Amino acid sequence: MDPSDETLVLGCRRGDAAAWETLVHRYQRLVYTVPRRGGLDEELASEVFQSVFAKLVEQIERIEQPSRISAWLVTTARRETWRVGRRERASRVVTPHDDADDSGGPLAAVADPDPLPDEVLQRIEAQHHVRTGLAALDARCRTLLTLLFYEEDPLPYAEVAARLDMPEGSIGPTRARCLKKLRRLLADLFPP
Amino acid sequence: MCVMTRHPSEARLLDLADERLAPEERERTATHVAGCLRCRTELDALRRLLETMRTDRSEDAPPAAVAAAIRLFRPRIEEERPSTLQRLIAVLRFDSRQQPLALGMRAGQAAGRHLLYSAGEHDLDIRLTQRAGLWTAAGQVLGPAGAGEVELEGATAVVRGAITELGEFTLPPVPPGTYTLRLRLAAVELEAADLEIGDT
Repeated sequence: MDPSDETLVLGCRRGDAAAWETLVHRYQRLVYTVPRRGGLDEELASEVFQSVFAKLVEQIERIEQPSRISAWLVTTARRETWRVGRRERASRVVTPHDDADDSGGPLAAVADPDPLPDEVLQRIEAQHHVRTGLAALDARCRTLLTLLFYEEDPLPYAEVAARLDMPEGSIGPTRARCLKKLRRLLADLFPP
Repeated sequence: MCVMTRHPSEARLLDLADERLAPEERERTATHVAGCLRCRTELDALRRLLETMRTDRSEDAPPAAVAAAIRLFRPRIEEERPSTLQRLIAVLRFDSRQQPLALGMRAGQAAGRHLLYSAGEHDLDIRLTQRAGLWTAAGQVLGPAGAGEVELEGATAVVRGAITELGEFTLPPVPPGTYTLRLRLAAVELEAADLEIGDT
């Protein structure tokens, strides 16, 4: 079983660099996805990514609920996304433009819509949870569920069966068994 | 309402959520579910899970960003543990006591001594002077580092002093003996060991 978030945070407080590294790997995808879904390009998303982890290093002693670190990271990433996005919009307005028909206009900086409403963030966090559960499954189930549910263009059963060297008729029942395992794992890892 | 038909199996509910039932079977199952809270709750949970997976467009952070985030932790550890400071051994480059004697002076009678050390990017200039049997070490460290502290440790005495922004220091007098001189600067510690002071 992988160490819990709480174990890792306590390890970081003792100066354990390996605990920090595990924590970064565990959450890199979540922290990077927030600014990307918030509409930032790769460069700005990397900036947000760095500043979120820099804040985590800074505040690791003060985080009150180490077990709720994923919520802390999502909230911090959202705030940083908003800050960087606003700065970028402001700098675009200030930049002298050669012609008058710029699309945003000075109001673009004022409007400042939240690019990451609660339901989007909740979904990102739920997706992170399911991926965490998936990573803890056995390899065969993990591969099957990935092929069936994570491909942008879903593969026909025949194709999945060929790739996994399985009879096509057992794909349906196997996926049902794997999903059941996954749900049990998720209930353990992230109790409601 | 569950009285009407038997509960569909888990596999059947999953097939419904996954839209894999033939039209007729789908209708029969859907009719049951519409009137059965337990099956509806289960179907909703399955649909949510499948939807969560299918809509996942999360992205891995670029490897360089991950590596940089991992490095964020290191400076903090080094600050807290001075033992990981870079420690350099100073190498003796010049000692006036070992130079040919000038004008018939005898080595033992010399009241002053001049030593030059080098350590990495730093040079260390030390002058020892004697008064009433006690020796005073003063000097200057030349190089990138600024202020810090200096310590001269021997078998019978340890003295300490400050290093100014210009790298200058003067230590309190010590009796003759073999000493180790340590200079603690911002990022580096210099050490000159086996420094013989006086007639040893």
